[in-house]
Amino acid sequence: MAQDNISMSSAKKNRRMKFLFTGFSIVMLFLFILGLSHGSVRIPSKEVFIILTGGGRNNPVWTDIVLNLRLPRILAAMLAGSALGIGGLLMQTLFLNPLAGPFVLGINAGASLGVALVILLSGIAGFSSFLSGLGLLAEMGMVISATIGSALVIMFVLVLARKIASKTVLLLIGIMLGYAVSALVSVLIHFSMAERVQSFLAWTFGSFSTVSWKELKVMIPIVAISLALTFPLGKDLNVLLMGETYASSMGVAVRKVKYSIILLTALLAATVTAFCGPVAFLGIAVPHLGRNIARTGDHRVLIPMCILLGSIVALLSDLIAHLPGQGVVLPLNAVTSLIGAPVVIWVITRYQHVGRS
Amino acid sequence: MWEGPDMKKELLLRTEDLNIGYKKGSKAQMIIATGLKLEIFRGELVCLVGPNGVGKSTLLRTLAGLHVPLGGRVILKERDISSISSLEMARIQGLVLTEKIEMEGFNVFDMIALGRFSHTDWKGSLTGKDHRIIAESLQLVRGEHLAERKINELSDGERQKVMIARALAQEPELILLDEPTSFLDLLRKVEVVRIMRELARKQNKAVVMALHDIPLALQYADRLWLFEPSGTIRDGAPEDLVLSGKIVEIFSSDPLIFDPVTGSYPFYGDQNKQIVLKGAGLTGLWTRKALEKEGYSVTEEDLSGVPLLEISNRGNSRQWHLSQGSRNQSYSCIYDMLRGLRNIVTDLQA
Repeated sequence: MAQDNISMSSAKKNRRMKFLFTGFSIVMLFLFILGLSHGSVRIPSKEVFIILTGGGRNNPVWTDIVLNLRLPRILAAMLAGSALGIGGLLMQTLFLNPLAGPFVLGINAGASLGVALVILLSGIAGFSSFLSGLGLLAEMGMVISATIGSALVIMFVLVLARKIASKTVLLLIGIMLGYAVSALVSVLIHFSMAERVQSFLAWTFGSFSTVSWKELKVMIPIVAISLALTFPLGKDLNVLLMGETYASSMGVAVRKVKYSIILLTALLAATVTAFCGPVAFLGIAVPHLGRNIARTGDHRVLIPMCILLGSIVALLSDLIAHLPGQGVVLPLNAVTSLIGAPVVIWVITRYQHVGRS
Repeated sequence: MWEGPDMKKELLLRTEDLNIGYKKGSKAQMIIATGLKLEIFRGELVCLVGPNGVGKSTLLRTLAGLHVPLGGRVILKERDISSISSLEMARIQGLVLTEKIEMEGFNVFDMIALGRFSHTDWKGSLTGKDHRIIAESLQLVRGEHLAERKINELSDGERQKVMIARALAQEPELILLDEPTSFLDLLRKVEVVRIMRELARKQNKAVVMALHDIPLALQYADRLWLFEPSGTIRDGAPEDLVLSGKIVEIFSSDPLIFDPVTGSYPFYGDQNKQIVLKGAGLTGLWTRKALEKEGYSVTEEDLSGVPLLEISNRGNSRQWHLSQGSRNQSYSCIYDMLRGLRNIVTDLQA
């Protein structure tokens, strides 16, 4: 009897999950089309659909706008949202800390140091005019330096993770590393030329618009493979919620799993930061939205849910950033923070309530 | 002696000259205990007792393979545990700790299902067999009614039962518990210990439980491991250890003397006053306890110049008659009687 009740309620849960996943997939598709049709030139969604399915040869300008300007941006938003959502989920479970995000290990700090270095170099050596003359190369220089900066931090954290058993120590070192690197960045900024600082600042605002098909050729495989590799971790992540002692007593290869978590998060966060800048708050907020919407802590549900919700929130943020129209675009991080901050505040107050009871 | 092939078959775990402790830095070691020779048999409840901080947790963690021994070996089912993978280990041993686990978004069934980790496929999908074992595990801790409850809404006692059920879902042959009753009230403590005793006897599991409630350990354990601050472990039936005087020695510290008869620390006041008590049975016993706590040395023989307390039992109503010289007073409860007694003494002193 008891067993029947359990399987009945789990069937009900399964139905609810199917409903949620179908519903959010439709929402995502809707936002996807909306993002492609909305902008300085408004293109009817029916035309967007025709262009996407290979038609629309009769309006080459629209086709160009949709396929070469907007589609890369929209895809970058979806990839970044999914990647940061999963990175946040992984970090929150690894550190058993609701306020952890994909950047707690100092990855965005490393990236910003790389970018700041490029700015200073171009400033002092009289390279400024030379680099800005090259235009596109300077832009790619930012991506490359952000990648090198994050890679250095990742390697440092991975070496540390091998040697240091305590997660709290690892977390603190990650945060301290962030502070130290930010201090270097502010020194660099202090001695940089105003116009260069401006472009660095623009990078720190985050943007999906800087991504073209060329960048997507790198971004898509890294993010897709990293996301796919998190699925087999779902079972381990669930047991890891009980703490490392319990987890290893129950059969989880804790060291291996911990290492995989850090490596995957680093890859996801570094890739996003290199191409889109340090996108704020998405990584912390999305896992909480996922847990509350799915009403479960089961990572086998939360992983696909965070991928879906991450895409949706990023698409929504991008759409809001483009809302003013006429080519005016709000800073992406202003939008994500305005969405993210209330979620985080709500999380903090909720946990406090739990703590008191 | 009956030590034949049967005893051998029942032996699940033994240690060979085991040294336990911590590595401090790269070379220094903090040794907690050395040369341990311990045995665990199926069907037995072993209680590990000893003062706080003596190293009970380290011992349990070492037996569970979560902590590397500083020397010697732990042999589980005739294999050195260092050669057993954590996945295989999870099917032989289950662990229950003191700490309270927060599991947001998990209900009791989900939580116990996590215990099937080492038995399920990469997705962790549950088969019919898994469902059956989860239900049985919950039954064994008498928690069938909890299945649909959220973990975060359980009381401490219920939560600890669920943690035990989760360990049972691993289908372990040995269950190690580190102070599982620490946060529980007396009733839940007894319940948990009884459940573990039942699991040992009826399911033929081997159970090792660190416990700091000595009376409970004395009452329920088949075997006691008495961890001494000196780093040795005395091993035997609780009764053996009481008779050897070891229990009294370890758990007494002036002015508190462990009483092996009651299994607790009796409190006698100053014992500088005398009283004569006439009364038998349970009422007599508890009246005597109350008087002793008040600092009286109680006798039953008549003495002159000493207060006399007589108990009369009429059905359900009890009366305490106190007389001192010419004064006489009756009371209907021990509390009032003690207050009366205090007044008489102060009056006499005045």
